[in-house]
Amino acid sequence: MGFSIETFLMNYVLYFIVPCFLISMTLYLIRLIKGPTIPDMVLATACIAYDACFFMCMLSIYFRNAYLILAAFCLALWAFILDLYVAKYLEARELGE
Amino acid sequence: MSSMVLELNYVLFFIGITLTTIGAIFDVIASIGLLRFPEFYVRLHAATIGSIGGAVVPIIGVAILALSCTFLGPQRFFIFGCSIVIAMIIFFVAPVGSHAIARAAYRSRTVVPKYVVHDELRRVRG
Repeated sequence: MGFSIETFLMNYVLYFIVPCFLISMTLYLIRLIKGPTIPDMVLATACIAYDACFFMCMLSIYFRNAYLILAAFCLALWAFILDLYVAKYLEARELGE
Repeated sequence: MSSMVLELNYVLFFIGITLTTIGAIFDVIASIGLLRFPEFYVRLHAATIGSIGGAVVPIIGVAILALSCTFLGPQRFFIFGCSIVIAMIIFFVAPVGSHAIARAAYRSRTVVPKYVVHDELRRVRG
């Protein structure tokens, strides 16, 4: 057969996934820099972290290295922790204790 | 037998490619929304599209895609399992985070809602 999964996947990642995510991450970054209030910035940061999480999963297939995917766990949980800490600080004006 | 396995690989591959494409398009739409919407409480909608449609759906797509990639060898089962777990984590965690940040922004009056028609919560809580 003339169709090879490997070649198609490499071209798909390089010419479709990477441009889409570069565009969306740039737009999120503009909101992160512009963001008039703190919650806006936190939302944009969480979105960037989830995007990077997906991107890392895709890259682990692209580079044929399964260990890249372990970093995605930390990214997903880190965005959640950022949300909760900022929410707690905004509401109670203190962290922990 | 081997041709049947090959055809199953193609089916998995196209399901994965479809889910990943849907996720990438959702993500671009969500980022445009996050940039263009007028207010924080409206932007929250775009942000949750970006986290569920733009991360959970394509990561499940990556999991199915990884199963079809025979060139990865046995690593593909590791990638499959990790991707499913990451998708589940984001699926449960992203709504909780955005709800917490919206609640904190409202109650601490960091962001005062502008485009609201009737604010019953403000009337009750004072």
